Amino acid sequence: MVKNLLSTKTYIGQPLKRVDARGKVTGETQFLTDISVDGMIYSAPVYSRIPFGSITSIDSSEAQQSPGFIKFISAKDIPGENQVGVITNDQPLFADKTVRYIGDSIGLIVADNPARAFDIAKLIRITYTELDPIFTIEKSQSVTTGFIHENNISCQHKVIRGNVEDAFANADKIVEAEFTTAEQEHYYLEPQACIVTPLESGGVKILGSLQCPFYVQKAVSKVLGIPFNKVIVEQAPTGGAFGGKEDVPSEICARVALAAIITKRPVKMVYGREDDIQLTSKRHPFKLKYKVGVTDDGIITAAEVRLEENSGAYSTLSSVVSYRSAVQAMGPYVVPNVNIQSISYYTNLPPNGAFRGFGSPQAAFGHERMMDIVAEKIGMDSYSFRKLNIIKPNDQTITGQRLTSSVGAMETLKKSYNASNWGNCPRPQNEGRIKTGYGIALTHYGNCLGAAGWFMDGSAVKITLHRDGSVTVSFGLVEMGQGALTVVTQMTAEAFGIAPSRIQINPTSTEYVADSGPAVASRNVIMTGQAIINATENLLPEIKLAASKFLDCPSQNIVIENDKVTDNAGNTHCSFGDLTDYMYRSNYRMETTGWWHVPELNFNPDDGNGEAYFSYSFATHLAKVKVDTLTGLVKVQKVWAAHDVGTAINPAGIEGQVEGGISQGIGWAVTENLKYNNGLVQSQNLSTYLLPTANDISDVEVIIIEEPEPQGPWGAKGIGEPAIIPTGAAIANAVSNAIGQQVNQLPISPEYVLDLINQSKEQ
Amino acid sequence: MRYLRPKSIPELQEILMKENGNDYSILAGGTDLMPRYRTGLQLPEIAIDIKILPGYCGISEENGSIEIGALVTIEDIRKNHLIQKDLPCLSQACHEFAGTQIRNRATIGGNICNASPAGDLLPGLYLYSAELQLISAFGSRKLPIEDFILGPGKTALKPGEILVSIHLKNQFDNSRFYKLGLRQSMAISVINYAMGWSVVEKSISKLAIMAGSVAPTIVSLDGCCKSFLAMENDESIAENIAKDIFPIDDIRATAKYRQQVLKNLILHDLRKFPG
Amino acid sequence: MIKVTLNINDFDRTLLVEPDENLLYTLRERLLLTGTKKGCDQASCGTCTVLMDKKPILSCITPTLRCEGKSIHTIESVAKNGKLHPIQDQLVKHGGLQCGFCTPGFVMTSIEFLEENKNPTESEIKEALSGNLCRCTGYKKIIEAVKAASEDMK
Repeated sequence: MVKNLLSTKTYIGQPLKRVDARGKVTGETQFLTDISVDGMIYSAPVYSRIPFGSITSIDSSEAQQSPGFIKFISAKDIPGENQVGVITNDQPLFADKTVRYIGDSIGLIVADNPARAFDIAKLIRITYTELDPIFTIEKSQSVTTGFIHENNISCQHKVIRGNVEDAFANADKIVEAEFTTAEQEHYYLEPQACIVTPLESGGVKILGSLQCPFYVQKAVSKVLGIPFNKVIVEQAPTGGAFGGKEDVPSEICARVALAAIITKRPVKMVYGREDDIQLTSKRHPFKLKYKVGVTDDGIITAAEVRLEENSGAYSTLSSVVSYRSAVQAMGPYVVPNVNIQSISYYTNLPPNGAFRGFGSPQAAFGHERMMDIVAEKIGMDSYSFRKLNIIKPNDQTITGQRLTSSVGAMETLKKSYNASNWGNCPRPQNEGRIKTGYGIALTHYGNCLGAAGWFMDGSAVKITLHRDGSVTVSFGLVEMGQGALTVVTQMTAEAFGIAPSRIQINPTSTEYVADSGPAVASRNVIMTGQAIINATENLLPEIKLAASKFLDCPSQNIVIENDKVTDNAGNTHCSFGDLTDYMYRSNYRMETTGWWHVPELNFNPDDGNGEAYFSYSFATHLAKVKVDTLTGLVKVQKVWAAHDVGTAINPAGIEGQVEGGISQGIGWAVTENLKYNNGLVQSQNLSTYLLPTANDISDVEVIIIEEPEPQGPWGAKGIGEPAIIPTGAAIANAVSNAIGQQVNQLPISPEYVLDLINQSKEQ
Repeated sequence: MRYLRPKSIPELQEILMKENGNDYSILAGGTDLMPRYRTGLQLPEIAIDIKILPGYCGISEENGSIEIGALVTIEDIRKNHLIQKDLPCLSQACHEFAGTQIRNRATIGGNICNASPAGDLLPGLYLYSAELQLISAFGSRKLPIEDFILGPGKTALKPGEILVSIHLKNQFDNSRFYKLGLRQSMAISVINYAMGWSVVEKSISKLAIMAGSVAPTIVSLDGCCKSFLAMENDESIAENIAKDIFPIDDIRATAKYRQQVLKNLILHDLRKFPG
Repeated sequence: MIKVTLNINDFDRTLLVEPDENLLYTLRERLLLTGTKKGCDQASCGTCTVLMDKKPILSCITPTLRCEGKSIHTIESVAKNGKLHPIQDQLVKHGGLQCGFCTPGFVMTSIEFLEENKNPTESEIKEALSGNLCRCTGYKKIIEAVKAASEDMK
């Protein structure tokens, strides 16, 4: 019945222009921070100014005397549960006893204007009994009393397969190394923000700059003690997210929702920049310890890996970050014997959480630095060593999962290597001031939520036909800059055979579709695409039946393609609008829903064996850098980025994702450097936290490789996160190649590079 | 905050006399003062906006000396051909100064009066022996820049006095500016320096280096230059650099790094000279 | 409150403002011109760029009182009668935007640059745009769009 979706492609694969571009270039798009609601009042966070301690008193008397003061809200005002933990119930909405980081929420001030709300929030006097704070993984591991929670372990995951001891005993060489990676701040240009309006139903309507409306719905329902259907969450146009608006908006919206219920007024909150960077999540810093066994021929036989993550004060999404980094710890290589441990430790820093890549960039730094170090130890070049061990169709991942199709790892490696022409370059003349280096890094990124999140890995769409032939689509994931609206338009157009211009996408709201899980894990194209196909299967037969009546020909002959309805023989045809008008007048069904969830995954969490994810995206980044040996400054000149995306839905969008991902990767690896002093962020603005400028980015050559994924819509896989994952590792490998010293940390600060160069002079 | 906007020098002088002793700040481009307000730091009670004062926003040349009005913007200096030709260090510093939007507002006078140890214009101004014209109700005076800047954020401006123009003379045949920031644009200098030299019969006859971000004010690396002209070896030149500077650790870099990088860069530059 | 008269998007406006009020606040909160976005509010991201007497400035650090008698142009004035300016048009064509929050700032900086420089090189474009930060695109498509717009404007 449904046309062969893999063979005919009219709109899929086209570089359709972004459907939301016009409003954005004219400034007409109203982001959350631009929106006002009648009768709106404002709130500001009241938070801990110490990293660790217990609250002895909270005094709001001075605040209450201030002009503009409306309400001070704290833990005792919560009607439901004082709990906003995403996975583990370890995070109160408002701390009432213990505070665990500078920024830990204690209350909320509501006032008549935003500036006053923030000023009054500073007048809440809180006294504490201070406890000995913990900022590092080392200290978190070693203390025997004064734990941050029941103990200091936030979560742990492992992958144990084969026999590592025997394999090491039989290996020709064993190579060990240790690495560290630092935090990264999302620095979405629009800060965290929401507006909550109380409803007559006793519920609330939330409009937010956010990624995961259904997370917010759940959190607000729990805190207010009201059912999900009284919590309406709509995403406003969102000025960047990158994971930073995955879990964090849940707590922010829950606090503001409480304020709206208590004051019976619409309440807006927009974080100031310093608050945003101090209060909200970052990329987890990792300590990575690798031990790899290899034969003299260059075959990897065993790996023992220990990953340690700084989880910050609450576990938030640490468990899933830890899971992903564990199952991806050896990258897209065949390693028959592994013992991988990934452990996340609580500290008194802001909770670290979701950031594009979700533990994968850190793991990639470990396995890809290791590949270079091992290759050097056994006298192979880094390209050949990778080629020898890379995962191919029918090989098994470290979790023992056999990958049968859409395994483009080798293609990405070969294509980027050939494009860079590194193989034909003579070893750079590295005698002068500026040294050149090349570095390769790969990733195999598990699409969607994997075994750890399988229970919520389903997504919905709702498709409405209007009698004039226009179409409205509601979906459960979101547009946050990545181009979701555009690819959803393309996929709907393809599925129905109608022009993209007929299609309008609704803002994402919990009102329109069922819980579709979070807009994370590069899952929009796969989940929404498959749900659209499912919706087509539901509605297309009805449309064709109507068309056969309208055009007076057999239903099986009806073809809807290129925005035309025909009998396939050219005898008769009509426009899609004529057909829908007929359908409406003849009482045909004009609306359907679609649903898709990921295939069942057979995975054993006890030993980490089995199907970790149902599908993998593969990528190779090959970076060329120049290192100034007088200053230690690193300039990334070019990155050749080859991505196996299954099928490219929108090549221009893919390019945009990859160029942006690489730019963020350059930031993480080179320019950005988050600094704390006793739990207080020092680099709290853009003159000290250095995002790459137009002058800092490299040239990028995007190479799209299409190895269709049978489980993906039209064969497509995710691209959002693979775009950033290998960049940092490729740059580190290139710098190591340039200066002849092992770069074992991120960021690669000039000071660190100069130290390495000094070491090589001493050798 | 009170906001005052004199339209002429006499009006400004009247205001300065009247507000003598009060908490006022002179607002030129406002690019430094205003962000402080956004980050919650205390604003002065009175802001005296001098941006529309006539007569101090031009660049002119007379008898080999260049005069720059205190209200000339960084962008205007960057684009000025006279400065590109005669005062290359200033021109280069303005190229690397923040972004277009800030350059369109920030003024040379404001940059000098901020007296930041990392100010990118300062090494060039020292190298070109900048003399600063100051006026007040009681008259005017001229001060060499090294007597004007006393420490981070501290200047020799007396109450009621303002900087109106800068007079520069390039005594060197060649000069260049170097800035090291932690990214390629929009960076505060980790170190910066201006170097001037003249060559007579294939050897260096004259050499001066003014370094920023390595001490509370710009330092002239006299010892290093003497040592080079006396044809001493790299070690003693490096030792002399170390003697003249007093770098500190801050969020951008450690003192140790600043020390080493300045030494690396200057030795590298000197090695390229003839002789 | 103090009275100030300024010309905004070719209309004279007389307003009462606070002495320490910045232009960004006046535009967004008093005139409801929300096309100019508030990013860092600390003169570091370029998102709030507007033109003052045709030159790009940061509205977040410009006291409104300093704009007395000045002409201010915001993103709302750029598309004329629904027709996009070449830089807007090329940003759409090249996909030189993702979340779009920084985009109005890039448009405003580019407009003046394209007037001043009819034949820009890539490095001149990068230098001109370096005061505007974008966290999404990696700048490449923005730079291409500026180059293409310069061709369109010939």
